[in-house]
Amino acid sequence: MNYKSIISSVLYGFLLSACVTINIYFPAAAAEDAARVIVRDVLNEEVQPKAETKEEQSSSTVTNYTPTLAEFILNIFLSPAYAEADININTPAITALRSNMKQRAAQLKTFYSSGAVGLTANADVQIRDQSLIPLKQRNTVKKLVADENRDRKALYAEIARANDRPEWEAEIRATFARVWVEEVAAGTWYQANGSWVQK
Amino acid sequence: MLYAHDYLKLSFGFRIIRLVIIYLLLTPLLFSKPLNTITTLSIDKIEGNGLVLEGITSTLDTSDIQFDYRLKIKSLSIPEKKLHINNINIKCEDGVFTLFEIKCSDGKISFVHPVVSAKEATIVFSRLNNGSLEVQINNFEISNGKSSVKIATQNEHWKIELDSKNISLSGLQLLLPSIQKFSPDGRINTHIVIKGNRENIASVNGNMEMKKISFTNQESTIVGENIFSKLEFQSKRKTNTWANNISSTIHAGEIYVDPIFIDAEESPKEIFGKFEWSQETKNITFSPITFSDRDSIHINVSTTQDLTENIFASPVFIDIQYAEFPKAYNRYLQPFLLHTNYSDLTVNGAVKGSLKILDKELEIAKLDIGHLTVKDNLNRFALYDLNGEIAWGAPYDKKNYNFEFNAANLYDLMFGKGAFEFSITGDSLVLKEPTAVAILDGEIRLEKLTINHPGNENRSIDMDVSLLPISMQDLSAVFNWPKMSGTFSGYAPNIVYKNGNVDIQGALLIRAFDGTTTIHNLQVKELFSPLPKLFADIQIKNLDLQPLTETFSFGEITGRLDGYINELQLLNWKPIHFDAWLGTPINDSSRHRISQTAVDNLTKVGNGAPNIFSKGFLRFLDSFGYDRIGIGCKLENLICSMRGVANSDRGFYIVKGSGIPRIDIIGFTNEVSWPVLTERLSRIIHAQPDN
Repeated sequence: MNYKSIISSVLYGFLLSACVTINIYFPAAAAEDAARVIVRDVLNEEVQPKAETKEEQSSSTVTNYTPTLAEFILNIFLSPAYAEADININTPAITALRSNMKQRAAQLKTFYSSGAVGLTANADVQIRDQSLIPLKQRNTVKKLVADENRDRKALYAEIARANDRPEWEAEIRATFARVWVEEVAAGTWYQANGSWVQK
Repeated sequence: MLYAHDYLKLSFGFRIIRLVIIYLLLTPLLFSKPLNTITTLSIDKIEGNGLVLEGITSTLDTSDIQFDYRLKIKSLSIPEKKLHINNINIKCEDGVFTLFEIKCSDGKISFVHPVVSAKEATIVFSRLNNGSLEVQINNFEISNGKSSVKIATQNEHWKIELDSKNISLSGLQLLLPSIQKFSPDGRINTHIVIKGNRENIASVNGNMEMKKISFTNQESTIVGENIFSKLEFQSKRKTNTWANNISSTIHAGEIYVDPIFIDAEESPKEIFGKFEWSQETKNITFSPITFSDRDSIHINVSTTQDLTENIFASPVFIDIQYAEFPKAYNRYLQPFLLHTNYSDLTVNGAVKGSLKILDKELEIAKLDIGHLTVKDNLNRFALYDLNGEIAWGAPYDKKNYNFEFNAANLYDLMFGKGAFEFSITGDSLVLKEPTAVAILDGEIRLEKLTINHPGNENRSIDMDVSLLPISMQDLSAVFNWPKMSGTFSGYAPNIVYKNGNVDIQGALLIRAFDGTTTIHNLQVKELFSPLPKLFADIQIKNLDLQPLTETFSFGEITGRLDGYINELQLLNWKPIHFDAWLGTPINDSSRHRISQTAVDNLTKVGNGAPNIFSKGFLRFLDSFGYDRIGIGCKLENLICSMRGVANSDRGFYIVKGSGIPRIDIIGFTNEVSWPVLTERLSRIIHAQPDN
């Protein structure tokens, strides 16, 4: 086998493998933006223009970078797959869930402030210390928490479904977990590394 | 709260104290001397039987039949029990000593202990020559509460009567370690009579008046606040078992026993009945204990539970004398249903009956239901005026029960009266005779209905249902659709409901617009969740376009339509996925005409220019002939991929015209946003005057 045929075989093999390993990447930045829009809406906060993300910063730094031949070939075949889609959050179901959660947020706010209710690491809410809830209100708060978690579960699943990627649900949940913590008021408790931490 | 094991500890303590009291108070007798003598005895330490006495000085001054006795003990301790009493001083200045009796009528006693103490308490004692002894101490303190105690012994038997007022519960924790974990606070008045013999405590009877009691465990799952309560109790030892009779009324305050919240301000709560506690087996038996919340429930609970095992591992029998709703639901049912679809109901009516719960599941039930209305506050379902009996479980096997309701609804669908006779087969309720329930102007005929395992999480409902024709006019009104003519009927031989999911095998048939629409493979998932999902395949045959377009105010089109909506998926009752086609049937021989309005509207659907007939001679023609009409949409991801009866150079034919003048409607946008398309259709329908 001469060099030409070896190189062409390698190149074909490379191209072939490149073709079959196309991944649809989770659009982390878009998902975070979408989560922030929803969380701020639910918490009744104005949506501010997002600060430049690390990904955006890093992409701007490679503007003048000259790709290698291999990267050039890969880009030809894979670039469409890498393109991160916007996250669609404008479905009637998401709107309905957001509306429910927004109404409930006003009721939950008192209990976030008191430390009775906190944010869990998996983007749910949980009663952290029920001794901080007056006896008469305990079951009301339990119901608020149960209803909120039911809506959150539906919301994360619906965002994944609305974007035709049900398998993204876990990543969407993880994104929301981060954003909830970032957006809630100072003093709110959240779970980190298995412990409760006050923001 | 005094536990049996506290009694045991008290028993031990009392035994020691009794020995000390007898020993020391009878010292005058032991050291009795001829008249007018003074005897002083000093002992550094006495130790034995777990008891340590230090710094003892006993002085006896006798004169004639009188004596003056002084006893000082620097410390008395029972190290094992961490009990330390210091500076015990007993003084009896006017003691009388006769052949029949040794008596002190006005003694003084003082001692120091963090919980039980005396500064200037009086002590009266007498010992008769028959061996009986009586000691009474008045005006000492138990946990800041004024107390008096009377101790009497005769032969092998003894009796202690304790009266206390305003005992501080927080201070009592040192004496009763078992209550420490509840951090109790508040005051109690109590009268307790304890009887026993050389070996044991035989009985404990008494009453307590509790004032402003608060308590909480560390997890805050058992909490009381500002409780005012009265308690009477009788406890009697039977070998290794304590038989108890209690009667308690809570007339103010709040109690939370996760997840139940009890507010005594709303109405007094009573707990009374008998229970047994076995020290040996750690079994507690309620036989029964009654809980009464006067304006909501009155239940008797009977059970034997091994407290070393999981509580509720053994059966619990609940006899419901009455449960009055809505309070019974709001106070005692809803807290257990917060994570279910029944967490937000308005319930009215009454229920009585009996339940057997095993391992937290309802194994046997018999309920007598009176005028019960259950309405979901989210308007998902309701049952109105339910009456009758319902039962399941082994004792009711092969028996028949009837119940009926006056009306019901599932979302916006209203049902009329229903009457059911069930035969019980093991853990299932089986409909004995077919029955019918009115729905709008038609009816649902239930040929078969089985409710399986109603008491546990595996509950399911199997049905064989015929839907006798409902007018589409009524159905349209319910769902706020344009008014349609025709009927809706069907036969579903196997409907299964389980965990909020409904699978319908069979077909539902809509006869409307002179054609048929058949619904197959109908499934509803998570029916009562925030986002119910519906799946179905729909076949459409030979619809008459003229009444159809008239109904939807689309502009008149004549002709026929066939079509399908395959893989229909609704989320929260709105479409999110389908592959639909509506078009002129092959070999259709009906008259094909399309009006100006319809052409205009179809053009709008395809996002074409409106008002195409505003100029030119075409405006003088009311309608046009067409060869074929057809439009398809495959909805995915909120994008409708559209197609028509044929492809054109740059798009697709929605209408292929025929005759002269010939009008073709061609769509150029293959992919349309579904919200935009529905908005366009909605605008078209609502822009037209009602026909």
